[in-house]
Formats: sequence, structure tokens, C-alpha cells
Amino acid sequence: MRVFKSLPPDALHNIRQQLDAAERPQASALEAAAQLINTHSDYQEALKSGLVQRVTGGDLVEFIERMRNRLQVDASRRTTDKQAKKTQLRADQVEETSDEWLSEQLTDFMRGSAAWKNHGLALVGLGELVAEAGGNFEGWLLQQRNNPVVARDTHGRAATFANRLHLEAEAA
Amino acid sequence: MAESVLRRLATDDEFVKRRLTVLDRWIDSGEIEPWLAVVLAEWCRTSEGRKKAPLSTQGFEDLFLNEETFAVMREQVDGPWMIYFEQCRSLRANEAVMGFLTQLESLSAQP
Repeated sequence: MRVFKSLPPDALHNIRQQLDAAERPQASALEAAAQLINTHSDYQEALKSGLVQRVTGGDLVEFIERMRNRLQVDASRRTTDKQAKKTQLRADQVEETSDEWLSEQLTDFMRGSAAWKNHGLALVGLGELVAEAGGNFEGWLLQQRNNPVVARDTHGRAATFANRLHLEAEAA
Repeated sequence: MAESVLRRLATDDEFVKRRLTVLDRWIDSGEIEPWLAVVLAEWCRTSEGRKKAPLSTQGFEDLFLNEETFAVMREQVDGPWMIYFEQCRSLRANEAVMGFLTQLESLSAQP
């Protein structure tokens, strides 16, 4: 959760303004930003370096803003449903709707982006947004384990299997 | 044991055969998804795999980005092939861009 907590409140707005005024490379802004997060242990340092402003693009900003808006709507609806119990929707049905939407968003997002392990920025931001909206990000992520699109760190899993593969094959 | 989804080649030596046997066992027990087993089987045939070295990020990406290997993997079993292909391609492109950016940063820091 460190990434967006460390962002000044108007950082996204500032980044967008700077991007509007500057040329940026023809590359996935999100990937570049995620890569930066991997190479800078502290997002504030990355911000200060000036690189984030140069390479963080509208894709990321718009995605995060879209997520925030949608999650706020979902959270508001969930709260209303739970408190007033005026609708026939069960809470878990509402959760399911929200999760489906999240899953769809993340799927689209991942398809256009780099591997899961390089999405520290997006994941952390997403986790924070879900938490803000009253959702259970860890629980949702756990449910998505079997979704190949959101399988966490596939290379890491493959590497673990690869190590075991050598050991078991040699022991046989 | 169900019929293996992993291809066998006449050129497979004992090293590869042993690993295919282990992978088949994992598939049958549900321990590993068949498509991921296919990836590892093909990796065992690469120079990196044969060195018994850890599966590197580059090694993983190379499997998807090599046109011939990718086609061979897809033929063996259904899986999220295109998703991981796109991800590997993005990663590789990203590395190139970051290299340019780093160079640019170094140049801009010079008087």
C-alpha cells in the first residue's frame, strides 16, 4: 500500500498536467511506471527523479481514476444495501457483481500490460482502492488464483516447479 | 495414467525423458496445469534447462517469444498462451524502452 499512500493528493493531476505538456516515449506508460517502481525502492524517490513524470502516462492515470470512481459507486451501493436492506440482493450477490467487474477490468488491464510480477504499482494501487471502497482485496485475489490471467507471478511458479523438476528427476 | 499431453521426440535423451515422466505425474495429480507443464518440458530441451540452472525470466520469456517453440507449445494443449505471449512481448519491449530512458537520463545529467 506504500505507493499511493506516498503520493501527494494531487499527484495524479500533476502527473497528467506534466504529461500533457511533455513528449513521452511510445511505450506502455504503465509498464514503464511499474518498472520504475521495481527499480526505485521508494516511490517518492522515483517521483523526485523526474522519470515518473516523464513516462507515467494517461493509461495509468485513467485506469486508476476509473477504478476509483467505480469502486466508490460499488461501495456506496453495498453500504446502502446492507444498511437499508431495501433490495432483494443478497450481500454476496453484490460482492459477486463487484468482483466480476474487477476481474474483467483486471483481465483487460493485464492483457495490455506486462507480467504480473511487474505490476507492483498497479496491484498496490488497486489494493488500496479496493480497501478504501470497503472491499477485501486479499480475499478477492485469493479467489482469482485459478484465473490464469491473474495468476500471481507465473514465472515464479514456473521457476519453483523447474527447481523441483530437476531434483525429482535426478532422485528418480 | 491418462495419455500424456507432452510431446516425445526421438532425440529426447535420458535427461529429458526423466523430466517428462515427473511432469506427467504432476499433471495426473493435478499439481500443475498441463500448459505450464508443456512450458517446462520445452524448457528442459533448451540449453538453460539442460544446465539444471534456475528458470530465468529471460529463459521463460524466450520460450514464448521464439516463434517455433511457441507454436509447438500451443499445439500440445490448450492454455492461456496468447496472454503470456503478450505479457512476455511487453516485458521485452519495456526492457528496451527502459534502457533508452536510462541512457537519456544519463545524457541529460551531463553538462
